Amino acid sequence: MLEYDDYVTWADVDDLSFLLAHEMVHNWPVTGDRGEAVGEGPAWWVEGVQTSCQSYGLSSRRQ
Amino acid sequence: MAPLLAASLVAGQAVLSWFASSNAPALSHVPTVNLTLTPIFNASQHATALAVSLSVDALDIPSGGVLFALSSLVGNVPIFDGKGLRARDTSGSLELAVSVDPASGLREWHTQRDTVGIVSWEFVAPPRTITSLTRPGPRVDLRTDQGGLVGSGVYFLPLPPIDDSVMYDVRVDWNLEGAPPDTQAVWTFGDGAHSAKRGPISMLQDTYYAVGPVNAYTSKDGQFGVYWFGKPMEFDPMQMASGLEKMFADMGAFYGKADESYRIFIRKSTARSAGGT
Repeated sequence: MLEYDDYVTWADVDDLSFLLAHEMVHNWPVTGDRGEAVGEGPAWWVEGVQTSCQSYGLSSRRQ
Repeated sequence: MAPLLAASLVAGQAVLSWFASSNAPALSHVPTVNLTLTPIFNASQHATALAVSLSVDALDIPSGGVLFALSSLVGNVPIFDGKGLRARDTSGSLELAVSVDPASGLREWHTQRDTVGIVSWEFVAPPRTITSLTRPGPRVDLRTDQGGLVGSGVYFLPLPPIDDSVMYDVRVDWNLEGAPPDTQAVWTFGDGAHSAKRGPISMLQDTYYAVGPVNAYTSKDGQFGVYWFGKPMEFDPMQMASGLEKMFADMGAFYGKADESYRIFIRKSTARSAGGT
């Protein structure tokens, strides 16, 4: 989820692409069937919502 | 690029997703969870809330057990409290007691009797109220955006506390009957009114939803997409998406995962809040 507001008057597409590509790279190594195969569930959100929640000290899920 | 946006985006995260082929045969032993989302529109044809209906089978919760759970707070974002949630199972209505676990912060709905058979629950999820004083936080809340709604399930979907090792056939349906003609619906794992993906039930919370006058850039194979409302003046989403699509395809080939999908959602905040999650 990328968010912008009216206080940002201009953003360089190359810079945005760089940042989003960076996030894409982070996700690839943990994407695939391995998580499901070992009973961990898909791991694509390691840098997604779950990690975002955990970075704030709260879990969005049950343990 | 504005320094504020650059700085705040460094910590930004996108959601990488892959989904099973829609042509894959359903396995009978895999339980199913169904989510139906019906956007509610006002007289101006703007989406103002989501009517939510879920059902899940293979659920056997004893009396007093936690039937549904949802965080009460994510970072500084107050989460939907489930007001108006009603549940039932094969035997009829389920009485629920709600509490917030002080340790985990989870809001929990406890069933007052053993559940029997298929459990279903429904409620209306309103978007978070945003003012000019709303501070930035994790971009997980459900918000209105230029006639549409966009947000994560972690904000508005109380779910059974089922271990992530249990795989479900997860189905997401959008009921767009009566919606304005330009209405589009998107889930992290698929465009359009019907999507499916096999995974843990919590996947419904850990993914994004958007509905309304959604603008989109999608690849021909449907594996890549960027979605937004309105017309951002600060950057060109089409130009950005085009480059990212090529990058995604090359990365997929490099990692040997060419059949996976990736969707990026963009929203405009009415409060000062550039960044990403």
